[in-house]
Amino acid sequence: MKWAFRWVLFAALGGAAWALWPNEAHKVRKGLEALAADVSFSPRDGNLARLASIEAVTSRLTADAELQVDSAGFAARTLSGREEIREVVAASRGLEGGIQIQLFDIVVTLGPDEHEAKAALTASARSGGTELVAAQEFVFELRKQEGRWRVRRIQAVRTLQK
Amino acid sequence: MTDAESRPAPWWQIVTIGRNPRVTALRLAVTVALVVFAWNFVFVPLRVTGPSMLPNYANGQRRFLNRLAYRFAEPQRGDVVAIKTSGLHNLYLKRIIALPGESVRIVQGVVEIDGVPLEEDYVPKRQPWNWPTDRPEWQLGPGEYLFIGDNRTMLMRDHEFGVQKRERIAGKVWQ
Repeated sequence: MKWAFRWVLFAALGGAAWALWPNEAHKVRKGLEALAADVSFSPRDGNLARLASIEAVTSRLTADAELQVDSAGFAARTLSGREEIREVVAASRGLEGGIQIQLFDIVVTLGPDEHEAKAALTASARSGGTELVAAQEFVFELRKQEGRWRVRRIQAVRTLQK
Repeated sequence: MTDAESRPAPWWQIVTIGRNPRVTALRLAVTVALVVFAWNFVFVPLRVTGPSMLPNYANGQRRFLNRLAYRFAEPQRGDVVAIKTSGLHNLYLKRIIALPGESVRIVQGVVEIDGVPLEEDYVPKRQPWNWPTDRPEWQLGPGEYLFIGDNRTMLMRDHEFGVQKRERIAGKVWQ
């Protein structure tokens, strides 16, 4: 019986090491989760916290960042440049119920030089218990600048094409 | 053999953790592993959200997804399937309406496959949808399916439906 327990233990340790070992894909995933956390805010947050989170969102984008939205129930729209995106994020801080963004199933593909990456993911957004976006697929393009992964492009993708 | 080994285990131990706790622990681990495997890769539990499959699948209902349904069989027209987004956390629940290679269009709410109206007894009421809007009909390519929800009383612009490849089908929903 002892050998079985040893194998299970080895397998568990190996799995944990594999999952926790820091690599670029892991950093991209963590960066996207942090971006979602920065876009999210609670109605209890004070003005300073809201301002800080807007700056935090902006710092995660490249200067030429682009956001293309095309979701059911929303008009197709493209935001170009960090400042334009910043204005929209700032305007969202007026929502009474706050915003809670959740990301699911983040699939990261690194470029050959590991300085560019693409991430496919599904996001949902709620405000004060109301669903704003149920499940929207996005493709994020990221670029590594000064040792940090920044978002270059966010494109909403329709799961079903019509 | 020591006294402790020869002494029979007390009844409470037999009831709770069995005669041999190690064997019980191993059985429990195997059972948990099998259940986790089955719930992730064979019969995935689902909770229906949203109105797009009304009246046949109501918001909040719980169903199971058979992940192996299309391992040895092709998806059929009328099957209710789950379509993957970027993974399995969020799935679209839709019905297969048209199959690869078919031409399809919707005229005044009636689906036409290769010019023949499709009988859909699972759609009790419908809005006069007209689709596609940019061409006379949609020609499905190899491996492409048309998925539509059962709730055709919704406005077409509010109803998520459309074409996707077979590899995006996560499985068949158990009726």
